[in-house]
Amino acid sequence: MNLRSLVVKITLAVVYLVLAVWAYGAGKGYPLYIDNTDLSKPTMLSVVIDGKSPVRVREGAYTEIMVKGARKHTISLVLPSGAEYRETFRFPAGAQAAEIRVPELAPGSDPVVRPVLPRQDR
Amino acid sequence: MRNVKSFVADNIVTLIFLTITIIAIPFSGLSGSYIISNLIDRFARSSFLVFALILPIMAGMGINFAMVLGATAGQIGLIFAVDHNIMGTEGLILATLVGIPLSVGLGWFSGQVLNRARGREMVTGFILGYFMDGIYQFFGLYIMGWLIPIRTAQVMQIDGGGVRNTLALESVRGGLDKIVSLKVGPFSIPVVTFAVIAVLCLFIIWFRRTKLGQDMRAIGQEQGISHAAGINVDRTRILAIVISTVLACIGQIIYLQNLGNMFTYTSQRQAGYYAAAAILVGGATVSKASIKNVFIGVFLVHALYITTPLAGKALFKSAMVGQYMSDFINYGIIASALVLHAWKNKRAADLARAGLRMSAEAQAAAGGVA
Repeated sequence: MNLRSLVVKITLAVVYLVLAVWAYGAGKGYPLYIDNTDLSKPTMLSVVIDGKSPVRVREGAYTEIMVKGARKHTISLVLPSGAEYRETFRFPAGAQAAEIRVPELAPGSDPVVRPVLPRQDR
Repeated sequence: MRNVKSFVADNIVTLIFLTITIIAIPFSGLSGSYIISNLIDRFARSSFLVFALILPIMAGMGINFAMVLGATAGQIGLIFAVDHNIMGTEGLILATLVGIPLSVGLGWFSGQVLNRARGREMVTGFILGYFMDGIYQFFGLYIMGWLIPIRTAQVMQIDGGGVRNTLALESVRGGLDKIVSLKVGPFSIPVVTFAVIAVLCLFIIWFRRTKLGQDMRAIGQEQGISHAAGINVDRTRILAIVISTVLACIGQIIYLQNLGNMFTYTSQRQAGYYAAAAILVGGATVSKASIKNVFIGVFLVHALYITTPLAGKALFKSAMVGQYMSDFINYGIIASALVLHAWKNKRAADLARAGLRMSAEAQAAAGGVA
């Protein structure tokens, strides 16, 4: 094996590894729980994350939505008060899962995203 | 007249399929737009997989039934991506990156075995597929969850050991098809998937013209002469199988991301049967195949899959009979194509032998007169 061939092989291996690491990091899905368990004003919600299909969150329940990558995401829904809510949030770095509580959402302010343990591990 | 006869004889399998499909369309009661829309979707789903068979045919190894090994590698990649919650296109990229080294290893192994079974490659590849099935089941049911931990409950069997029989691939579903989806009237066209298929076509056209491609074609025609001409026959045959296995791995990932679910222990087997049926229906033989054969075959097999279950249901008043009819025709065609090929080969050999005998007799007679 000559030097040129060795360099090409090493470069290919490095590119392969970098691509795998990138795909793993950028595509990693994290569970985001939309907590609608506050029963003071029970309302069914329809939540849209990153412009994807709306997900229904029943009153008095929480719903798990998978978000791709620990990066910025958008959330939009109609709050129980009737106000439209559309904000961006950053998934907490290092967290395995996160939670957004519907009663804590106020129009004009970023959502509070709490790192939590995945439900199956609790 | 002779031209028509020869055309029919050369394309008998394709013509039978075309006739059955044309007859089935009105009986199925399906609209043209429904059939076209389904054809576009299925075309994007399975064309790549069928391309995996071209190179081994070119190298004279017949239909590579051992492509099942590549499909298995692709499935292992997908299990890994789903288990680690890697979503969308990135999940497919990761599955491919995991599957490729596995498929290269399996392809090399398969090539080594097929080189030792020269002349009986197809049946050997078929049995290799079953052999791999056993290893894969052992890996999926016992090694996974024991030596290799399973992280996600949706992937694990309910009793806690091994991978489930059916896996939902929701996290990677449409990871390729939905990157750019073009809406043309009632039809949705997965642009990126078609671009990937187009790139593969260009690769095959380019590859045929390379030194390695020319070597494969030479070996496909005559191994003895190729060896005498200095071509490393064994190595070239192994390379044909390795490339085919890698393409089968990628093809299976594309196929499954379109379907959105996976029968963990049987999907790979279906891939092998389906690809073989498609390329034969497209007019390929075990010694000659082209890109055109892939396109025609995929189109006809899927047209049959879409229409015959409903046509059978309408004709026999039973949905089950319709489904059986479609499978019966499909796999019957594989058998007929292989038998026809064997018959043609035998007939050509008999004719050549008779020709030689006649010329020898004529020479002897001429010598006697002289």
